Amino acid sequence: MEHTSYLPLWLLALPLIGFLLNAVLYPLAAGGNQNVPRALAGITASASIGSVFILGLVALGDLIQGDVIVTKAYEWLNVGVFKVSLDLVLDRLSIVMVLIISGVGSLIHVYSMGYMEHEEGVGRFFAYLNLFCFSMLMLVLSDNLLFLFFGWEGVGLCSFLLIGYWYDQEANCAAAQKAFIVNRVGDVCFVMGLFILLWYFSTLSLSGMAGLVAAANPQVLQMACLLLFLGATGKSAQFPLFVWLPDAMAGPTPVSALIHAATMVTAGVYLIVRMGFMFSLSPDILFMIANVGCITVLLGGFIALQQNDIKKVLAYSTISQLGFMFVAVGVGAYKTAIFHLMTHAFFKALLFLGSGSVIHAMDGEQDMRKMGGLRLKLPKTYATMMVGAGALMGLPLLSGFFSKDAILFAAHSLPGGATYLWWGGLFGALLTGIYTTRLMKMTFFGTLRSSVVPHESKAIMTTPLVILAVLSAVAGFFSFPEGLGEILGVPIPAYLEHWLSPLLQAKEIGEFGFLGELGATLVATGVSLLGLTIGLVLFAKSSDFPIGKKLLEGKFYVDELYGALIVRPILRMGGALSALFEFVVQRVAEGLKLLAQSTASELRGIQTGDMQGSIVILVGAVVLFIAIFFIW
Amino acid sequence: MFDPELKGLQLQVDQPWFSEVGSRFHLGFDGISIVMGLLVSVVTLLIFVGARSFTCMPVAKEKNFVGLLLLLQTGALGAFAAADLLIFFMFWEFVLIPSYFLIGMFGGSDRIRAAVRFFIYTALGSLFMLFAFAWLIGEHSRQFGFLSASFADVAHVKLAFANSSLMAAVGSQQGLVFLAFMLAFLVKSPLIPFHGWLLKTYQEAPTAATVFIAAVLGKMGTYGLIRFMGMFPDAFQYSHVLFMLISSIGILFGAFQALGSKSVKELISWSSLSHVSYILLGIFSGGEEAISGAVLQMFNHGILIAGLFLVAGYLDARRPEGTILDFGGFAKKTPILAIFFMVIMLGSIGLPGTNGFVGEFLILAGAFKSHMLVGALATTGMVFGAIYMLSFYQKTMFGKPSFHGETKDIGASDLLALTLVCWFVFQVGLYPQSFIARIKSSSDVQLVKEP
Repeated sequence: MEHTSYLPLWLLALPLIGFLLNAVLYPLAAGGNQNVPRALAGITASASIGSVFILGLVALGDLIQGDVIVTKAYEWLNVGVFKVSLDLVLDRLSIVMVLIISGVGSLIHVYSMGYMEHEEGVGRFFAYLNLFCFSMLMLVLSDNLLFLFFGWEGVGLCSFLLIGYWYDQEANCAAAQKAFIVNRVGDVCFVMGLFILLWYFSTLSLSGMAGLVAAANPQVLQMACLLLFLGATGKSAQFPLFVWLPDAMAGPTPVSALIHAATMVTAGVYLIVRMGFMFSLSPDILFMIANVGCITVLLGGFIALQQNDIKKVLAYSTISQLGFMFVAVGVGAYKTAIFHLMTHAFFKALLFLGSGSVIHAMDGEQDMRKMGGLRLKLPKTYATMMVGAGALMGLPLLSGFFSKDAILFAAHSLPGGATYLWWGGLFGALLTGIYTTRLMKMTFFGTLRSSVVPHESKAIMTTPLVILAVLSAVAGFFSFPEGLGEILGVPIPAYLEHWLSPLLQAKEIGEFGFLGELGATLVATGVSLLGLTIGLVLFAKSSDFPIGKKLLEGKFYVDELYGALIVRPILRMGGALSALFEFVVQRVAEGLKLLAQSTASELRGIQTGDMQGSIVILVGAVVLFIAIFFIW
Repeated sequence: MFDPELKGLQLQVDQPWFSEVGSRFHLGFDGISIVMGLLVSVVTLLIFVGARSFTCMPVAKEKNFVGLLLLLQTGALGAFAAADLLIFFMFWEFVLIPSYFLIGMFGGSDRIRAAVRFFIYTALGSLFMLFAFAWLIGEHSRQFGFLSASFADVAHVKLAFANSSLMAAVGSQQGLVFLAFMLAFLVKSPLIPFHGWLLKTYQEAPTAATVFIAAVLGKMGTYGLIRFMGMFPDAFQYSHVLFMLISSIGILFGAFQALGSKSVKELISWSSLSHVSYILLGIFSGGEEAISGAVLQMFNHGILIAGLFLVAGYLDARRPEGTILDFGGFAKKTPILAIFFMVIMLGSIGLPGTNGFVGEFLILAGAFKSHMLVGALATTGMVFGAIYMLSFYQKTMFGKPSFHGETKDIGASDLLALTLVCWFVFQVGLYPQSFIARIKSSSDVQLVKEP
């Protein structure tokens, strides 16, 4: 049942109001002064996103009664077949995203008020954060791919602005630019996908297309899905476009938590799940997605083994975990992907905020080789991060255990899956265990390896950590595997799965051949514990991974490869084209001038040299033009 | 008042004028020309409000300067409002005179050569146009038995076309007149390889005049294409993919040149070439969506390039004679300028929510439909456009301040001008239908008929 309400519009308007207050109104009221009172900026921003969360809960009440809330705001464009309106849809999938974005978002906003206490001009920071939330909500609420693209590019812009937040550092600006441009490469593919869909269906409305796909030409769908997926690899940092995410860690740590772990980078997963009705009809593309996801799981996991910057480890871990989500959507387990998206949002936001607390305590130090023994100095940060690390590794009963297990199970048992995807995922889980152990070991155990006197963060920073730790611990029970529950005799309903089922019909439980459901779970548990053990043994004395240290430290030299093959040639082409252009024009002008001088010496009196050259070039171009016309 | 619900010309003036060749003094606005008229007026206003702070000259000189700019405005408005071939030609040529003097009297060190070059290029293009006009008037009188130079009458002229071979196509009546038109308009726009005048003119002209030349004069070429291409349906159909291809190459060529640019004005000039190529791509794609997008992008590009050259003016006034690398750290010193520059930059790289996106999207979608490969080639321009614009912004605004001492932020009148620019960036970006509805009211914005 559909019902119309302005509630989704309010969900968008609130962060936008927060943005306008912090970006325009407060500075104007302060007489053009950029230094708005710190508390005012922070509270405004937190309140605006906090009220989105509350409104989201209100909407949840409506949705439980079986409604879909729809807003038709205005007709944006109407020309030819191209009709686009701002239609917002709040359904079972988007409400989950809204609650994750606004819930984790609120906690991170509050945390930021503590984290940014020594910064000047935090008004700008909070304005960007609100603008990000606005764009992200637009992305998940829009019923039209064009407005989804608005949000898609909007989050990219905010990511760019926030990575380069400390813009007087060259490195930050370079990282920001890299993020934007790599994303743009994906976006070009995305836009081309939109063109194909637009001309084929004469609409970009998701609900409109959902009704038309059944009768559509599968090749067209396949092409469109491929292009949209390429767009998703950019935003969600999948192979081969993952290179921007580690550099994006140059931004303030709360930004890494919100944008580069919990929400924005999951946009690609959301897109594919949202368009599942179309992707499901392109099994080849889904198969490709699962493989790309699997490659990314392993790639991210390997590189994370040998990073010494605490945030870089978490960045590669994020890439790897996003890979798990892509494996899930690739084998058709959409609900499981959303489940992992949610648990990952909790525990990865927790880990990033925890690392922020560590960095804060260490006066900005991010190198884990200079940390150590912090568990005594930062007890709250330590305790909460332990929960997060456990969830990331998939230790039993923590949230990551259930969601990762469900993905591995689906990768093996669903018709779209394959045994090698299961093996790949298991190996990825093993790597996760190893690098996470290394991270915790280097940061919190042993003795402190620098002269800084660390101090525990204030309550405003530790309270969000505690809340996220609780969520990371229990979120697994939001979607407890029912098959396992039956075997164990603990009938807990899989709430999230039931919630999403009316929207995403795909059956996501398959038969697990030789092991059975309990066996598969035990194997996954064993692998996590094995990873933990290997980590403890390997890094008992040294912090280096014994095999292929150089290669891992160099991140498989992917950046260098892209630099040599793509970036530098393009930059050189810019310079070379300029030089070539100068050269050709000069030579042609001079040559034609000589020609003109020798054939028309009597006109020498009025020659201004260059001018005549220009005319001759013009006429020459005309001749050339006509010649092209003839040949063509 | 202009009524967007009506089709055809409105607000007309129609007086007998030069009946020996069938010409009447006929002006009027339809949906396309009213948008162009708005552009001319807004840009002129922008110059008078926003360019004052960096255009310092004695009162006697300033009188001339302002007078010439007003003449330029008259000429451009006349050309966009003309509904008669001869009137169009008159205003088209008339514009050259004030531009020549603006460049020659007030320009940089190499101004004389720049002025001459500009004049020669465009005047040569005009010769072809005059030839084509004369031919059309002659054909009309032969086919219909009376003399008329009115757009509406001339549009009924049927020109023979042969597509048996390329020779025949070019040699046919329609092919010849078509080519003559193309030359006149493509030199003015410009499309590669006819852009030889562009860089020198933009660099040497005083920035206030560059704003007008880049924002408005180039649009006369693209406007002419949209206005007249409907008369050559066969020649257009025959050749439009080739011109789409050249336009796509122009997009990338301009972007690469901008990437290698050494100075602020040079970079903006090349970006202008790249963006104008988008407009041309839209026109040559030929569908309703693409043409509407092209008209909208003419307005957008005018507003954005005016904004960019104003920003260049403000930067120059704060750090004259600099290469891009000599700037840096302006965001700290001039935060308000940095914000406005950011909005204009984002519009220029076509971020959704800004005006640049709407035009680019419609154009590229139309190109994609018309020829998928050429459309895909042009779409990659989105990446390169972002690269040069972002590096430009970062090199000037971000990083450590490259010089010390006081730098004042922009003044009140500059702020007003940039606010106006940003208003249009967002109005078109967030509610494009307000413009598209007017453009659609024009008689026919579709060049390629659906099969």
